[in-house]
Amino acid sequence: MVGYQGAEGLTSAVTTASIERPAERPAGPRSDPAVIRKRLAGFGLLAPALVLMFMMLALPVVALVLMSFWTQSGFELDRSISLENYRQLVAPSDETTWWYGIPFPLAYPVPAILMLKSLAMSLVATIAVIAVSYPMAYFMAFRVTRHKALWIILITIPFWTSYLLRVFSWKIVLGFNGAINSGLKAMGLIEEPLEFLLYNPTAVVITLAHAWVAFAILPIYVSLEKIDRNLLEAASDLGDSRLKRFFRITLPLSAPGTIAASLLVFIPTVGDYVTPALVGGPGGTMIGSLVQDLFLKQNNAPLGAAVSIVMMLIIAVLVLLFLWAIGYGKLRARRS
Amino acid sequence: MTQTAPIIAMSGLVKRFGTLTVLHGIDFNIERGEFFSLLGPSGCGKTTLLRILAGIEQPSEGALLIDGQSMSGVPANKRPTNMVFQSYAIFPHLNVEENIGYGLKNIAISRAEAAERVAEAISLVKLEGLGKRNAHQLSGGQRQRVALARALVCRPKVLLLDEPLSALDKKLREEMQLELRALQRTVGITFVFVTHDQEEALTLSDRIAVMDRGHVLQIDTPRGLYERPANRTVAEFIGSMNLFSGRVTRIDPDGTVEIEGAEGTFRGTARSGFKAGDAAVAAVRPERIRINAAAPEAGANGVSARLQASSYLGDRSLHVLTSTASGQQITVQSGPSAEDMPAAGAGGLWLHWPTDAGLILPD
Amino acid sequence: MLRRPDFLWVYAIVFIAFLYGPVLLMPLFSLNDGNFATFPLKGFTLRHYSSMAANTSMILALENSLKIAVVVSVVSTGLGIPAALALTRFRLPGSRSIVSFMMLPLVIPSIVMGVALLVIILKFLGIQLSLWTVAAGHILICLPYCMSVLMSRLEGFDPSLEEASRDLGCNAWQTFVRVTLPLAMPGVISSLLMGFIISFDEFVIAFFLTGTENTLPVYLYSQLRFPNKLPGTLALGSLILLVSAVLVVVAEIIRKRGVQSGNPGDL
Repeated sequence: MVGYQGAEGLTSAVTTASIERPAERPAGPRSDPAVIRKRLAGFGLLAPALVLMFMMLALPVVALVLMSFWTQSGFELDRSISLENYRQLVAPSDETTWWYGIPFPLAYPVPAILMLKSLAMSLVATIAVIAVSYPMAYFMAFRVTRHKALWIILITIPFWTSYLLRVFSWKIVLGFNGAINSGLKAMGLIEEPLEFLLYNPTAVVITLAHAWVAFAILPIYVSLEKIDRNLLEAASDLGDSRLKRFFRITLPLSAPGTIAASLLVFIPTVGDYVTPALVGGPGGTMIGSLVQDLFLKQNNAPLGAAVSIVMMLIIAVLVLLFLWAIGYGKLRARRS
Repeated sequence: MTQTAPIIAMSGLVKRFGTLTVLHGIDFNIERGEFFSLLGPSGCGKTTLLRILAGIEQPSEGALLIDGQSMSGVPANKRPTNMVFQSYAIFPHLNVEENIGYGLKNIAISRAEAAERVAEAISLVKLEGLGKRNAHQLSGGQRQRVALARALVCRPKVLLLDEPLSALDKKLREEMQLELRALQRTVGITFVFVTHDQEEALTLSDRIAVMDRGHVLQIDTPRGLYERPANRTVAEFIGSMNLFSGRVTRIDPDGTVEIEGAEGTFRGTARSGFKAGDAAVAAVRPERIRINAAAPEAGANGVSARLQASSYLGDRSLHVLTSTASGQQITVQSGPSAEDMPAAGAGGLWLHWPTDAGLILPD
Repeated sequence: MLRRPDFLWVYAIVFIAFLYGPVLLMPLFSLNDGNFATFPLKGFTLRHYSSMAANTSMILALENSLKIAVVVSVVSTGLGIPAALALTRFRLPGSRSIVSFMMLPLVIPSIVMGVALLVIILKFLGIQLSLWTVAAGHILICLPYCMSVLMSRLEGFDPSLEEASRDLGCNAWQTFVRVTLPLAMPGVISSLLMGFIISFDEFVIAFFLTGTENTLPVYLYSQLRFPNKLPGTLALGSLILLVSAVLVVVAEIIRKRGVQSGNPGDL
């Protein structure tokens, strides 16, 4: 089946990466020379890719952390270790900045506000993505009986095509002179273009949801497709109506794929800056926009590094909290 | 509705998948409290028929009554049947108790009563102490027990079992056969059991329906099927059978029929009406044949054959011979002892069997 | 026997329209004889496409992107094959953690990888930004995709085929060349194509790591802010979409045929 295995590999990799890390017990006694030789050969094959990943992922992140302890003043880069950047992010002030009724008593409130805003926007976009993709994945898993491969290709194409162009297409749709405005005007429904369509957080959320929806369908689809049809028949046989069966069997069994999908969407979107840059306008900026700005425009890479690190940590903590809550929820459901 | 009316009545059940017809007009009844088996090779339609009884599949034509009620338009979740799936279909996200109690949430009973019934079912299938185990921690035999308990706890009028023992190894399967039979006697529910294993069907069932390519060939008790198969297919499917084809030459008033073919002239009893010249086969079980050095007396059944191989199976021996006339292979079963075995490589042997051991079946 | 359209069918069609609608406006307006992406349509023209031939900076960016994408897909697949073999055929201790580590680029925001690479390249290693630094960044994000395609292909066929080859007298290398590689070939080809597409379309990391030379997406991004360049941008975007879509379909078909011929029993 087209695309199926790739998506499955992806999902399982992501799910194991983020949800469970059971300690692997390798087979065979440790001292057996044949086993040791085989392992050495295995690690030898793995080495080039692993070394490259280490040099290009682990080391740069360490460098980023290190840089976040340096300070930039004008064109001077001070390489002595200090917590100045982090202090700057949380330094209090008597003057409180208000954002949507939330007080930010900070001297430099922009990062904190943008962080909260990005999380909120990503969360809304993620929920929208899951809500929109679940029925589609369900449709593909349970309703499509013929030409399944065609449907999967149809969903896969946007998955692989330019993110930049997918985002840009919304600028054409929502723009001041865009498709909606000019279309409505041509039909004589409006006189003046609707300005509220573009350059605001809603436009960003819609665009994010659209751009990421293809990423979410495949993991959900794979987890639904894997459900043994006999389980559904058994539930019906034991007296469940279709709706009841959905909530008692289908939904819980597709939870791993759905969780993987929501993380696959939530984590990268928090740091996105292409979307805010293209359709966000001044009101739609996100934390990624600030990082990009600090690095490339304000020439304050150390502060940008600190913002990136804090962003990563917050995302990581939230994701872990979320997973813990889900596990906890399941545990509680078991006990009752 | 009287208690003697059949629990399941099928008339003219037809099932088509697209252009493929998998059931061609099934008409028969299953009696209350019976252990009834549907037996046939894979693809004969037995599982489809079971799924129609469960309401998972809908028949294309025909009527189905369960306990006198028409099942037309009644979905699986509203039927008084429960099923044990071939794969067991144990819900992987629930533990043993939750699996067994699954169907009780759809019945209006109190939590306490539900818990009591689950505990009862657990002890019925001997799973005491495993209630909190997760599905993936169970062995094949335990999963099978959970599936059984889960279906029985709902107290169905009919329990449907789809090859429930096929995934178990031989020893466990034989143990479970005995347990299943005892369980059916204990609970007194009608069991409809699908299997492709004729030995299993013979061991377990009160009655068996032999199916082939969407048709029911014969419905009878195990003994009836073995001793009086209705036709060639049933004869070949139940146990092993030697068949000699020919044409009917004589019909005696007592029901004895004589046929003549390449291997000789054979006499046997017939169930169906023949007329002279009909194509027929003479059928004889391996254990009813005796190996002799001399030809039989005139008019008795006999085939001249050569021994190809003998194998010793502990409680019996099997001999494979070929007919001198046509080279057709013949299987003979004898006792295990050495004197029962004719000398290996001996030519000119004769196989004898009495008239009442021979069956004449339509070809 | 056709199933009657129900709610889910209607939903699926609306969904596909939502998924493709905005993107398909791009080719629509690129063929429109006007300088703005607006309704009503004015008429059919190919002039936005023909004028691209004269756009030297765009051609240059295209050449750069092609070069990078070829290098990236070959290197990622080349590194991915032995690694995928090691992870699927050798029982390595800690292999799950290793897979998790290798898949990290899928869940780290690209901007973080972009700035982290930027920091180490500029401030620690003191290397000049160039197309090579872009290619390096792209290998990082392509490797997880290539690995998962290759691993699922290797998991998709029976390891006893390889054991049979060893049993018939082939050594490890001969077995790889005569059995594993031919069977894995559909996966290898689709890994090459996927690596190519991802690198060719990637923008965020390229934006941070590129020096004076542009890749095509970076060039495209720089053009997006100029309204008068819009028709040309639309034409370019449409072509990129077309090429990507064709490559995806080809990659999927190759993989599908591979699955069918390589192991009929396995999906």
